[in-house]
Amino acid sequence: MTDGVLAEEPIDYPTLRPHPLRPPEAFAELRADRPICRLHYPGGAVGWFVTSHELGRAVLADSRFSSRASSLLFVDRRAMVESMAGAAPPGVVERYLHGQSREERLAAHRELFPTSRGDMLSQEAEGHSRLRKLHTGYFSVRAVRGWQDMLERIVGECVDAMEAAGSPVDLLEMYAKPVAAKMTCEVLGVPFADHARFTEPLAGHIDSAVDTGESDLERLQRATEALREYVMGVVARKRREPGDDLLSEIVTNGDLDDDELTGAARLLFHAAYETSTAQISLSAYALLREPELWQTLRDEPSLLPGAVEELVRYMSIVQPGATRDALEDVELGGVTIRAGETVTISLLAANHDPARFVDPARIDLRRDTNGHLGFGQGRHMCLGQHLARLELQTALRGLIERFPDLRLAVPDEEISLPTRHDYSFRLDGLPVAW
Amino acid sequence: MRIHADRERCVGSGMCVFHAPDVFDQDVDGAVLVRVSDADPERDDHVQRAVDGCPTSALSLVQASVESSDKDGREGTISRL
Repeated sequence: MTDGVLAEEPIDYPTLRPHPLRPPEAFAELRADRPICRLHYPGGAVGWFVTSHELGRAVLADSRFSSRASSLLFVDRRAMVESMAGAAPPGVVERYLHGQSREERLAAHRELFPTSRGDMLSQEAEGHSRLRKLHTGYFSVRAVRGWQDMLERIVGECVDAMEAAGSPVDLLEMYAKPVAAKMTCEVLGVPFADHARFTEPLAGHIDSAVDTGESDLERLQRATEALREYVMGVVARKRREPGDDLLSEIVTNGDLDDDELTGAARLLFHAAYETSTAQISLSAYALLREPELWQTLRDEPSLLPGAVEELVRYMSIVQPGATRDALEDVELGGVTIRAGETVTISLLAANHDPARFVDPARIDLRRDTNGHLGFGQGRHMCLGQHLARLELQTALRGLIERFPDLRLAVPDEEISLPTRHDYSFRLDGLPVAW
Repeated sequence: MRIHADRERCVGSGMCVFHAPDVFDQDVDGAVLVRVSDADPERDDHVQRAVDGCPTSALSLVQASVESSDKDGREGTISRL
């Protein structure tokens, strides 16, 4: 069986969506036929691609797989790097994409994307626990409950502003972004007046990854530098005057140096703001394009926690999925993954596996979503998942209560979503009316 | 049946508290605490989801007879609030 799979031609990462909200059709075919198959990676390397829930969960939960160096092989990075040709230092893109050895490609990757020592996503074992443990108390279920009032206040301010602006508005700009930005500022302990200092560089990151033909490395590097500069300033401020917030806690209680702190803080800004913005706006869109879903939630608000889980499952916004490197040979799903090989798990494909979720393409607000991989799995499982849940529930409840008759202000076809699968999943705008 | 929590393996995801808030809690560092260590049939489904859903397999259900061999707590202990 192993030989049979190895003999098969590796696939290219499937990117074509039949509809912006639907997973690429190739996922279903692969899942049924060979739920773990060979995949092309940058540089001509061949690794593995997982599309079933069972195998995806197994890889993420297995400590024989590491996320230490694998982020360099994110499929979206390949597209990004390809679009950089011409702007990057001579030869670097070439070495990253076509380098002879893994070491050569790694070195080129480090030139293009300076890694951060404080980023726990790229750490394992002691390095990972040391960083993660500094954060976990702040994100426990109990701690997050303490943020309910803060979230309700933020949501109240944002629905007030939206109402004052008057119908129609762009829900992304008027609601999803401000809710996410204010929440990020509160949790990390920076003044809201600062918000453009991180939201603009983060937007620069995303846009420079988009395949518009005008992407450029300079823009990405400028954005990266602007964010780093801002975050370094915040870290210095927290050292001088610690407050009652997550960053102060990490600065005060940990033994991280400034470089690590900057990396850790940068990850927090990134994770807190971008994912929330995308998930709030995409959730509202999904509920409004099928108005019976909106009405159901309006009539039965007790369904909200389950609805949020279902929307997280359905969207699986971390589109490139999770990538891991095998630390030793691993037998899985009838194949042998060799030590050093990379495995990409499509969280979207796993969360749309009909063996786990019946009729997965349907949004079912009453579905039992237990075991979905929308927040990942294993020791890198989303640190902020409980805060994200509460934020999403509060944000959707606030909208439903203030605007019970909210509707899309333009035909569904005019809502702009990425049609390619390999970038961050997000809306470009969401015109709504009431 | 008793609930066994290996606090060394725990990464503080809080998934157990999410599934069974009456049974689990987290300490100030986010690590698991078992509030009621004896599994109760009425809560079985929630506890089972917590055990299955733990991202690092830090939770297990152990037979009372097996549990006695773990009494010295050399591998993580069951903590009470």
